[in-house]
This record gives sequence, C-alpha cells and structure tokens, in this order.
Amino acid sequence: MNNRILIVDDAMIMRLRIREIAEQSGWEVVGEAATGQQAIEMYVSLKPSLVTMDIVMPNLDGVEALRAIRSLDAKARICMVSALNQKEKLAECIQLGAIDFIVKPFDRARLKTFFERQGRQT
Amino acid sequence: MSDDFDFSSGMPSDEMAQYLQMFVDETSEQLDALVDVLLVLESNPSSPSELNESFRLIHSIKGAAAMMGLDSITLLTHHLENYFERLRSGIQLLDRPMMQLILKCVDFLREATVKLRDGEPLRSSPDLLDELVNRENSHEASAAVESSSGSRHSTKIAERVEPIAVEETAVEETAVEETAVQETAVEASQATPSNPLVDKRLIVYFDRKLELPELKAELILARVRELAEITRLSPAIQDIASIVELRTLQIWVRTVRSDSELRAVSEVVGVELVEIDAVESESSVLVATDAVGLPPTVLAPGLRNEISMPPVAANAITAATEPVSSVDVPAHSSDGPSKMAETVRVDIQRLDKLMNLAGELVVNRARFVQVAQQMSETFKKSGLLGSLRDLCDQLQENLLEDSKTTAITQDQVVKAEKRLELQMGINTLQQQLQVLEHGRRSFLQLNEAIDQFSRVSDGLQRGVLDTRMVPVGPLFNRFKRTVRDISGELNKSVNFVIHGEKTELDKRMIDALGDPLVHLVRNAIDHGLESEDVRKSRGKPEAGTLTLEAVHSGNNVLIYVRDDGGGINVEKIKKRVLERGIATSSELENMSDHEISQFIWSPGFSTAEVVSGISGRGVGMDIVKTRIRELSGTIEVHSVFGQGTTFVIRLPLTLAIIRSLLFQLNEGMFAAPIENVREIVSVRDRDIISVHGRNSIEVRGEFIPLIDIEDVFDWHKTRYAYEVNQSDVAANESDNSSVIILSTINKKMGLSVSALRGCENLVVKSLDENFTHIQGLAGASILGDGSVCLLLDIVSCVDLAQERLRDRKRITRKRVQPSS
Repeated sequence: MNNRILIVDDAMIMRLRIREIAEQSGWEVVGEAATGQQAIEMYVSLKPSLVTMDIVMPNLDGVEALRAIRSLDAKARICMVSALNQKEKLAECIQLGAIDFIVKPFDRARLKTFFERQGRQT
Repeated sequence: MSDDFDFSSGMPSDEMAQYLQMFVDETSEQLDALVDVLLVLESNPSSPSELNESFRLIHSIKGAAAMMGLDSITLLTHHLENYFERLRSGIQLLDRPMMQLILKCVDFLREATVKLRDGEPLRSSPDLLDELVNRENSHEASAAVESSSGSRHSTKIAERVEPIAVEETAVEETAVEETAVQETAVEASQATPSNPLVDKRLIVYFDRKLELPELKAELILARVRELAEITRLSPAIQDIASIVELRTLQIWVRTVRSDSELRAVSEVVGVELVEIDAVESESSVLVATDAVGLPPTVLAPGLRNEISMPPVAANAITAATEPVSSVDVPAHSSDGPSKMAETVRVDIQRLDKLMNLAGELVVNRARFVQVAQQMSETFKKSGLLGSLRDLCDQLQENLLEDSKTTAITQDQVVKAEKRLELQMGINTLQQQLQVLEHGRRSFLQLNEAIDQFSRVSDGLQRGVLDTRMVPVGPLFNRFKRTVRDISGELNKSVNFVIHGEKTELDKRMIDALGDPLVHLVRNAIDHGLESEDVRKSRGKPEAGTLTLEAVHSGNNVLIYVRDDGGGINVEKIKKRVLERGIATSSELENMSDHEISQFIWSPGFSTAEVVSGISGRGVGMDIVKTRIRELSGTIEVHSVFGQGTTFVIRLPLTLAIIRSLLFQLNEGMFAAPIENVREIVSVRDRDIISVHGRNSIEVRGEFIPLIDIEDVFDWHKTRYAYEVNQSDVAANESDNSSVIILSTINKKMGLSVSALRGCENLVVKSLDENFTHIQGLAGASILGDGSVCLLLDIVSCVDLAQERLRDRKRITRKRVQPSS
C-alpha cells in the first residue's frame, strides 16, 4: 500500500535497473527524476515513502536535493545511490539524514534486500 | 595488462545484456556532449561549468559501464574522472597534451560503443591507462598537492583530512552537540513503566567485501543515535577506518526503544545480520572488562564529542531539529522548473516494421481507390442505373399504351395475360432497381469511408516517418572534432562552417552517413584545401573554409560538403586514368572536364601522389558512392579548378515511399522518381540526330543523349526481350514516340518509352533482400491492380548507359582496326 518509491538518477539505464528491482520487491515506482531540481518538485507532489537518490546530477546535485527535501519533510526516507569515489559527499549525506547509501555498481541481491527490508518498515 | 582480447571484462554480463542497447545509445549521446564541452574547454580551460559538466558526463558513463560489468570502460573512465576531479577543484590545469590524451580516450570509448553494438568483445586500453596513471603519479610526485577525490587515494585522504576536521570543529560544535545529545538523551531516557530504560548490545555483522565500511559504521551510529544513547563501541571509531575488512561492529546503547526499532535503523545495506541482546548496566560492564584488562571504549559524557565524529552527529541532529525553513528551495527554481521533453527509446527495427505496415496500408488504400473507381462506372447516376431506370419507365409506358387499345377477343385475352406477366416483370425489375439504388447509396458511403481511410493512412505514414526523423546537428557537430584533428595534423588552418543543423533526416541515414562524410571531410582538408603559401599566392585568405550544409528540397535532403580549395585537377586525373588503364587517351579527348572528374568515383582511384595518413588509405571515393547508394541516395561532384570543390549528397527523406512516374517499356511496367523527370517530349523518328556517335535529340536548343532501355539492361532474352517486341517498337518509332527527359544534378538523358501510365506514390520494396542487387534498379513496387512495377535508379542508369556506349564504341573500333 505504502510502498511508493521515487527514483532519482540522471542516467536512464540506472533508473530502469533500480525500477526493475524495486518493482520485483513489491514497490510501486511513483516517479523518476533526472535532476535534483526535479527530485524536489516530484517529492513534494508525489510524497513517496522512499527515495533513491543519485549524487552527481545536472541542475542541483543529490546532496542539495537531499538537504532540501529533508528540510521540507524531516521524515523523508532517502537512500543515496552513488559511486565509490563520492565518499566525502556520502559522509555529508549521512549528516543530512540519509537513511542509507548504496554503492554503485550495486549488487542486485543487495538492492533487493534493501527494498524488502524497507518494505517491511513502511 | 596485455593487448589481447579480454573476454571476461569485454562483454557485458549476461544479466545486463538486455540493457546493452540503451547503454550504447546513452553513452554515445554522452560522448557527443562531452566532446562539445571539451572543445569549449580547449579555448577556456578553467571554465567551472564546463569542467563540472565534463566530470558529470564521465562519472555517468563510468557508473553505467560499471553496472554493465564492462571493466575496460569503467577503469578508463575512472581515471578520467579522477583527472577531472583535480581539474575542477583547481589543483591542476588542463594543458594541451592532456587534452589530446582525453580526446584519445573519448575515441577509445566511442570505438568501444560501436564494438558493443556489433557484439564484438572489447579490448582493454593499456596504453591510455598507463599514460593517464603516469600523469596522475607524476603530478602527485611533483606537486604533492592533495587531490580531493579518487577512490585509489580515498583512504589516504580520509586519514589526512579527518583528524583536522575533528580538531577544528570540536570546539565550535561542542555547544550544539551537547544540547543535541541532551535532547536525544532526554528522548531516549523517557522511560515509562511499560518501557523502561534498558542497556542493550547490538552486534552488527557486515557483508564480506563491503565497500566503504567505515562510512557504513558512521551511518549506523548516526541512525542508532536517533533512538538511543550510545555508551560504548567496539572497535573504537578511530580504528574503524584502518581496519582492512570490517566484519562486525558492537554498539552498547541505553534506550527505551524495542529491539525491532533498533534493528530497523541498523540493518542498512551491506549488513548481513544484527544481533541484539540485553546486557548488564554500563558500570558493571566497565568493571568486568577492566578486570580482563582490555580497556574498551567507554564514553564518558564529556568525552562523547571526540569519539562520535562531531560534525556528522551534530549536523544530523541539528538539521533534524531545526525549523523547516533552513533550506531555501525556491531559490533553485529561479532557472524555472526543469521541463524535460518526455521521450521513449524505441528499437529502430520496430519502427522499420511499423513503417513497412504503414507502407502496406498505403498500397491497400491505392487498391481500394482503384476498385472504387471501377465500381463508380456501375453506380454513376447517369450510368448503368440511370439507363436501366429509363428502360424500365419506357417499358411501363409502352405497356400502358398497349392496354388502352383493349378489345375482347380470344386472342386479346391471351394478350392481356401476357401483358399481366410483362407488368409483373416490370414490377420485379423496379424492385431490383430499388435494391440497386440502395447499393449506390452504400457505395457513396464506401467512397466517403475510403476518403477517410486515405486521410488516416496518410497521417499514419507521415507520423511514422516523423518518429524516425532526427536533426543532422549532432552528426555535423561531431565533425568539429574531426576538422580540428586533421587540420592540426596537416598544419592547415580551417574555418569550419555548419549550416542547416535543424534539417531532419531518417535516423538510419544519419547513422550510416557518418563514415562517408568523414571521408569527404578528410579529403577536402587533405587534397582540397591548399597550403597557406599556395593560398596566399592565389590571393585567397590563409584559412581555408570548409562548409557542411544540409538543405531540404522537396522529398529530398541535400547535404553539401564544400571547400574553397584548389578544385579537382583534371590533368592529374587524366594522367592517373591512363596509368590505370581505366580509359584510353582518345576516349579522354572526347570528354569534358566534368566528365573526366567523374573518374574519381572509379574503384581504386586516388590521385594523391603521397599517400598520407589522413586520406588516401586505399578506401576510395567509390566506397563513399556505394555507401550513399545503399541509402538510395546519390552523390555528385562539382569542381572549379582553383576555386573549390562541392560534393552534393542527395538523400530521399524516406526510403519507403517515392512519388514516381509510371511508364511502359516494351511489356514491362517501370517507374522513375518524379524528382528525376524533367519533362516529357514527343519525338519523331527524324528528329533523332547523332552527336559524337550518340543518338541525341534537340530540346529547346539543348542536345540531350537519347538512350534505349537496351543500353541500360542486359535482358538475357527474358520475355521483356527487345526482339519479341521489335515490331511494336518499330511501329512506335515510325510515328511519334514519347521520350522522358530524366535529369540528375548534372546529367540529362532521354529515355524513349512505349507508353505513359501516370503518376503514383510507390511503396518501394527492396529487391536486394530477396534477389541480388541489380545495378540500375532502385527496387520494386506493387501497384493498385496487384501488378509489379520496377523502379529505376536514374543515376546508375545514366552511368550504365554511358559505360555500355563506351564499350560498344571500343568494340566497333577494334573491329574496324584490323580491316583498315
């Protein structure tokens, strides 16, 4: 019921991959955003229960989008999805209240476990 | 790393194969965008927005490649990314040799996408990698400046940076931290009789080979801290970063929260299992461990800051507790809400299929229209129906006339019975006529439906066509890079101009045009444009101009590749033609300069005396011509010696539907694209004259060679054979015969035909798929009446006719020589 997810990534191929795994884990993908700005707009209008957020994106990066969304909704559940070399940015995201982070390239099983665990919690 | 094929990393993992097409498309687009940005950077190497954009594009390619399991691409982009990270943080400057190296990397990546598309394994790129790594190392050694990113260095940097951060922020943040900790502590310690404050131990087991375990630990601590007061940690936080493979993390907490709540926040990605058990109170643990002699990390309230990564914890908590207005979201929307055009990626083969179906629909429509036309004769008001009605009325009248003169005799009684029968017959006839009249109304409705059907099928066809159309801009823009490279290598300055980027062309053609255009552009710079000295002496500006232009023209798109160089040197061509024995000197004498310049299209022809590395690699202009012809296009060259050369590529907007003139040649039905038909003239036998041994006709003062279909095709005595219809044709020739003047960009010829059959939109089917390619034919089409019609390829027909004529002359000359 409440398993509604927003996927944020500038690469369509990534969005598709995450969508596939999320849907298999029983999530409803309510939206896909390709920029941080879009992510904020879509978060406000769609009110998803979970967000996967890329970090390096055009037009507002994932860190700023996370900051903005968390300030609008302190309960926002946002999981960062990022490459290994964004360590400093990831540390910043943890400070900003990201609930988790997933390192790209991600392992299918690991992501599936994440979605299933999150599904139980919401 | 070896130069061999690396199969393990060169092919995408099986599971990801379904994403391959998308990966290739997306990566190609990103590479195009990257080159554009790089060219800007070349003139302005420290532009922050371009540096960021390059970084983002490379980062994005890397991410996708890593997901696809394409190690060779991932590795290369990873190093590139490191480099751009240093550039955008201002540690290093983009210099020229590095730019060359980056562009080489882009080439490698582009080549890799092509290989992936063709299903070939990828090669690793040891040279490029070595060079990139060398530059990284040498930079580090010489400058000894901290680079801010790159996973290879990340642990090193973390060690270097973090302690400083702690020292700097510890003092400032203490106050905030303490209130924050107190707040959580208050929350955590709000014990009620049903929820007493309990000491617990969480044992977090991490997955093997977990990336960034220290960050995961940080995350778990930050999240647990929201629910509980952390009293102790093992291993200690400052040790975590140095542990090679962190497998477990033990957290002692004091909280009112349930095990499931604690588990929910600590079971993050990469955590295999969380065990939670109730423990003795902190003090007793302390005593116990002290007794064992292993001092665990115990958190005294005042020391908490130093141990628990102050900036992280403090910000997390304050951010969460601060009022909502702290981040100014609308400020970012000043550049307007980002509206992306919604697009769907579709396999081009599906579009091909759709296009074919739309084509079939058009053929069917033509059939409907034709059948309806035939039926309209029957249903015309003044037609059959009308005359039947008249007949019926007349019979009725006659019958009435006859019945007036009635007398009562035996004979007349019989007659009256006959009349009655006749009357009944007429009544039946009238009823039938009513049915027919009804049918006529239905037919009119059918006609309307066909009109409607026509509109829809036209719309559908246009729609499908539109979905395949893409602007030529990205294709043209790619040449900025090519021109830059070649002109640099040849030391010629070139002013590259692009026109008509928005002109749209079928996607398939755009894809196939790349190679031929590269060849033309290379030729233009290498052979076309003169060196600066020569240009100066000819009074031209030092920098040569090369123009790529796309123009819409009727059902065609014309692409011009124009240079203001030396033009084609006819003397050189003559020399080469004689050397190669392509033609004899007496043949050359009869030819115009323009005709001679056409020899550049001959296979294996190259006038470059020195074969340079840029053009003249043995692939000649004939390959270019073949490629263009495969797209049902034509290419022609115009050149003025000393002033420049222009290549004109003419491509049909679509390969599927061509408006054509239909005509009969002997028994067969043929068609020519209407674009190639200049006019139709009526010619008498005695109007045909001989010019240079060729049959010609004079049309408004212009001599046009007249060819027969016999000059173009070798019929092999099929049923279209000339001999069979000799008498017909002879009869035709004796009086006026129709001649179609066919024209290409610079050639004209007259083709005498047996009969003209009007104009139609032909849905062209390829012959090559089912038969072999026949020179001179562009394809076949099914007409409305179901018969087959062959579509002529006018350009190659003209070429064939000329060739045959030359051959025939040569043969006759040889025959003549021995006797003389």
